[in-house]
Amino acid sequence: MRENQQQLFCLEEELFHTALLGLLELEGRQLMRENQQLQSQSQHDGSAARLRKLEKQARRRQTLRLGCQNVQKAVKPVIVHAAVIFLVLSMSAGALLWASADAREILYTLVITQYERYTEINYRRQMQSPRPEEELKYIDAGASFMPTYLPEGLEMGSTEQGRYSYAVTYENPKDPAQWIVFRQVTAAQQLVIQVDTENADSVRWLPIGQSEAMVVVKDGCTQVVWRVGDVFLSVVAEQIPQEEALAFAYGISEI
Amino acid sequence: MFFLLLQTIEDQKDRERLTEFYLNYFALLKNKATDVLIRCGLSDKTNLAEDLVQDAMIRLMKRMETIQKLSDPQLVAYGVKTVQSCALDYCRRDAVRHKAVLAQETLEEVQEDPVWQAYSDDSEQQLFLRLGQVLAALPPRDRDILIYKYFLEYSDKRISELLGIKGDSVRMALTRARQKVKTFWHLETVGKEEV
Repeated sequence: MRENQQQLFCLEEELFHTALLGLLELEGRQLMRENQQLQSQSQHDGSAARLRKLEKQARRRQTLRLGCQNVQKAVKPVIVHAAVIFLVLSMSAGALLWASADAREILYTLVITQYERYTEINYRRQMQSPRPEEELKYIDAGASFMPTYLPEGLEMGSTEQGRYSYAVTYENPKDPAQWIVFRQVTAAQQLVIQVDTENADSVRWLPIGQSEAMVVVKDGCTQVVWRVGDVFLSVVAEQIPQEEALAFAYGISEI
Repeated sequence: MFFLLLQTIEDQKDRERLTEFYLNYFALLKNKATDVLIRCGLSDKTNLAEDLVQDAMIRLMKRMETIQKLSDPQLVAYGVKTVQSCALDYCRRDAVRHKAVLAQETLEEVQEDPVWQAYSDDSEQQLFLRLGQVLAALPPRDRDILIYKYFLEYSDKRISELLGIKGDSVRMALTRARQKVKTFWHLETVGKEEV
């Protein structure tokens, strides 16, 4: 009995939904007739043509967009492969250049001794015998090297000339806290340089030309020390960005 | 812009069908939207009819599963009812915005659309059409309730807000419709003598 009632209920539901579809169909047919009348009345107003034109434009844009996407899909793997090959080649070339730089050798290295509060650079001229006394008087450090790059805002200030050294200070007239001292020292026989490396922010080694330079950064001060032959070059930059200090050092060249 | 949206329908058949529907029936849809706006006292906003048509089309795009099951005439009716419901929705919100108290009465006064009175002359013999005629003989408001409820899947509350009627009226209309179909079927199968 209960099953019969359920079946009856399901049947009534189906009938009702069928009736709804029938209602929608009838209304739709009537609306289509109405639409035909409307279209015949508004044949000449051009709105239908305008809409079709807009639809065509949209379809064309979509086709172009899909076309571009397809092209991208096809080209992307090629570009990726090309990029990978290029990267590998450039890395290899870079490695070769670096290796060849090593092959050229860092001709001028620094012999250092690390102490707690400072690093000591020792240098002894490679000579069979000490320089004759009469030669020493002819040693004049002079300005064998000069900078070719000066950070913005700095101007040449004072100079300091010693028997074996020559120092130039570059200052910022607007900010006295910013300065660079560039010193060049010629080793007569033996030379000892002490560099303050206690609690330094960083101590690293960088190539400058054919020399190996020690770079110490501490409390906003950058110190760069390297040698070219018997001449020791040092740059001390105070409150100057590290990159600028290094650029100054890289720009120093022999006259 | 709307045509670009249409291009986002993935299935080509659905996309073409809806595009053709929009192109062929745009004027009719716009007219229906304009009629509703005028009847709700917004004759100065008939320029919004196009926007309402586009809103309706966006709603249709979201109901592709339902649309796939409809024949072409059914789709037309479905689309028109969707546009009308969008227009009614706008009118209701506009009435609320202007704090008009008239919403309920105004919406109830929407005139009977004379085009629906032609059903009794329809001589189609198919069962679903004959059943459809049973419902087509109902008042226009009841017909709208049925379509909003079973095709657009609005809740009773939403329908009552749209048409400006009480919730009870919605339920009574649905019950009345079911009863009519039941009675018709009984007559068709059992015979008139037993009624």
